[in-house]
Amino acid sequence: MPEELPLTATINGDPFQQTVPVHETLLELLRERLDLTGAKASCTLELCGTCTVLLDGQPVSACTLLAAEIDGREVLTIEGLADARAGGELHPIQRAFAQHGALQCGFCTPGFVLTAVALLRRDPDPDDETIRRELHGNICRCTGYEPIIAAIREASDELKR
Amino acid sequence: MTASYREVGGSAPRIDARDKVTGAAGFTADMHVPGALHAVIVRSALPHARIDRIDVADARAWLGVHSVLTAAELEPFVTANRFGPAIKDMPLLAEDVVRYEGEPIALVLGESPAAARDAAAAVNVSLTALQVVATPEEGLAPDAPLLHAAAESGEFAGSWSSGHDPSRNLAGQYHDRRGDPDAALAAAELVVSGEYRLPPLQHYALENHIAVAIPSGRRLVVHTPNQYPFLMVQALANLLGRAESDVRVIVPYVGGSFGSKEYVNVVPLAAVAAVATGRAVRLELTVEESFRSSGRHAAVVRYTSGITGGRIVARRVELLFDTGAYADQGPRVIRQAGYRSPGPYAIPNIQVDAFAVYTNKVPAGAYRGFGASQPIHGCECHMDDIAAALDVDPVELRRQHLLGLGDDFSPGDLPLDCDLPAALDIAITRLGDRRPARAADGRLIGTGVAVGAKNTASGRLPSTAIARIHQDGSATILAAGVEMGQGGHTMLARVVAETLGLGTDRVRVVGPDTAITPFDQRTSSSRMTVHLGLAAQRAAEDARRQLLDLAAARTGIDVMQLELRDGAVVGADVRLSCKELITARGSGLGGEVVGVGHVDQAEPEAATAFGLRAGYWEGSVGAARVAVDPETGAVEVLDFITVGDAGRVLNPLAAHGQERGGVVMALGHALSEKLEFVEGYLRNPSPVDYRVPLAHDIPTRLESHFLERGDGPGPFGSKGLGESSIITTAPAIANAITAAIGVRLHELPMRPWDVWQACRQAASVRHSS
Repeated sequence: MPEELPLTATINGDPFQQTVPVHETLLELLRERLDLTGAKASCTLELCGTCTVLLDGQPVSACTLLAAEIDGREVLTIEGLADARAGGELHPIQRAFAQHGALQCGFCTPGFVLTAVALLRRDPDPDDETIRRELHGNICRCTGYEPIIAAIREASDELKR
Repeated sequence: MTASYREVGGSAPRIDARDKVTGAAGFTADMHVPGALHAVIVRSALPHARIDRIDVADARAWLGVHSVLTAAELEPFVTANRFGPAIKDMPLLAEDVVRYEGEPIALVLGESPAAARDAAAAVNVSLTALQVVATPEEGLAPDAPLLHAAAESGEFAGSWSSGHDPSRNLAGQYHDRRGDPDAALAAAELVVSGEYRLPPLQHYALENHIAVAIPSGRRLVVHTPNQYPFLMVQALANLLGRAESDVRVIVPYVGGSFGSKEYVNVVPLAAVAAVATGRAVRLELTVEESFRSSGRHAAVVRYTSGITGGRIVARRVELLFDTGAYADQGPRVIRQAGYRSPGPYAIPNIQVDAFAVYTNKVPAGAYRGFGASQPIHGCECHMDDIAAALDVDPVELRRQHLLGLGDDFSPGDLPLDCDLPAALDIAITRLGDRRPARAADGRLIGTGVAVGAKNTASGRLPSTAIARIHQDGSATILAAGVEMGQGGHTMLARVVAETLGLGTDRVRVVGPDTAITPFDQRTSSSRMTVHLGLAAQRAAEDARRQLLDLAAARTGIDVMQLELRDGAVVGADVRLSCKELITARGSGLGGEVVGVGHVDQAEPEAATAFGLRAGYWEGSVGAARVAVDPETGAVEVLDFITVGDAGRVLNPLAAHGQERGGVVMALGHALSEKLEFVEGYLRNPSPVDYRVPLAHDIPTRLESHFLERGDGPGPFGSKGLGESSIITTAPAIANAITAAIGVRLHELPMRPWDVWQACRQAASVRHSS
């Protein structure tokens, strides 16, 4: 078995071409080599959702996905969602999170925002029950979820306009 | 008349919201430290054992391993291999004995995480199992093995360590007696007793414990999420035999804490390793290791009340807390728990005996609701049990006994500055119909309430802040408040902005860096708004006054006729910019205005049973409506109302966020969360089977309300509120379940299996009667 594999992918819209160690996770690649630290390591059991990124538009846990598995695919991290420069425009979901107090410590926030992005792309008008169900892969210990659900509802209204 | 404010009072998004929604917010783990060694802890596989031999030869020879430290290797670098806030009873690395499963025995330092991890598995530890003390009852047994010898007091010494008695396995204790409880109980018409059990809990902050220690000559810099940066400096200085000025602790954003990130051992371990190797050291725990670092005390809570003529005339409380293998904050927790345990009720005869007992488990420490949650749970379940025995409405029973605003909770303490009867009225009104019912789908509907009061920020807790007004009128505030999600930095910015007549966006907060920010006791006990907020307000006022004085001297206008607004001093016909005032004031005073603000409580020791006078009281009422499926035992919380007493709410968005977040956290404590220990072994050290609430678990209707009288000691009449809802949520849910199914569950959590069994018990009681 080779120690490294060639990898060609798109990360936040930019082409990425490198060899990666076979055992390297996507989360290690993002955080340690690309300095994209918005996705966080927490449970590393594919359960808490702090490492959520979008792979071809679907939320996945970067902690248990091998970097080599993204070959030929498209990855979006929180850093690629909006113009992150100071004063740059936020994505409507990010704006709604800020306005509704949908974040406190912020450790889970990038994961929740990306899960919400995927949800609203798939279902632009989800009811509360759908939102709650779709958030089952992300844990927040601070907010009690209600403001997150309210933020997603509002962003859905704004995106439809 | 309500005062009107420009910045505080209305809802405002957090000042860190942008950083946090874009992923730009820097947490400790996001730091890249080139050349850092990665540390991995070798932990004990047994809960209580003698260490016969530690063989590190294979691990030292591992490719990519820099060194392996055991207690013996630490010796040249530490004054003593001991750590602990109240009692210095915890070795950084175990010496001859391990006292809990997961206790650190060795530290492997590698050039990569993988090298350190692999080598850690190659450390061979020979252990001989010793008799395990699995419960507090076992620890108090006359023939129990003694887990500790005498130990020195820690940085939190004083009255906190007074009950420490290792000859009885006691980490701490508390006793109080008022009136003649024995005689009153003997003479009572009715005596009601109840025992309530609460399991050990995990904080489960999503950010795991981490410390990055970087040596720099004589100095040591530690980056770590921690609620106690200055006390950590003192602890590290004592441990390493250095000046406090040679230890610098920097706290970035903290990914949740809830009391977990206080005296956590990763900080001294990383620090010592950095000193021993002369290299930067990164020690980052896994979630499983974080579960083995700290937790909430399991408790057995026993209440006995005597009732005569419908009045509770006497109450006896016994608390047995499981503090685990090391004292940690246990001696402080048990004193607070004992003090609060009689509840906010007028009861003339009281006896309290509270014990924190050493066992062979993960040490328990601080947890949001510090020592209040356990006794309040027992007290409030007991109040409902008394009401049932008397066949009276539990709300009326509380109304008859509740202490009101200004009443003494305990002689010598600050009288209650929360209006619990008013809060109860709001909760009951908002809850609506309280009668038990059966829903169309067959589920049983019940409601319940709980009332609680927590003396908060007791004793002497100094805070200092520095406000700098720059030439363009913008401001920087230096204040060592830890931002762990509660919104403390936003509070600081708004309080300073309000005081300086600036927009909040013109104020920057420089958070905890012990080499830069002045002393703040700690970020805990819901005290940041009151103490540090007040220090920041005073610092801003000091700076503001300097500018007004400069303007008055320059113009001859009376200071009282001048005000600072949007970066300029304005009066009748004048407008002087900060730049004009600062640059014109002559040499030697620098190019900005610097104000300093202090807060220090004048009466540190009070003549209370507890020894310390409260800074203020956090009071709350919780009210729940639940639906119980008698076929499955599943509980759904339909409605939850929480009412707090905030003095004045500075930021409704943040305040309601704290209250509702606290409810959902305690919903987990009520219905699902429990650390499962079997003979000292922790069976569920991960979120896989330690079940915290998810989005679909929250109540359909969750309301929070505040009483505001503007009478708090904090800026603009505010009080602390971060621990208010959490203390009354679980007992309100427990009482609602009891009302629904007609039988009391005496133990948390109330999982479907437990509730289903209770439903069956209730059914058989109905059939046999």
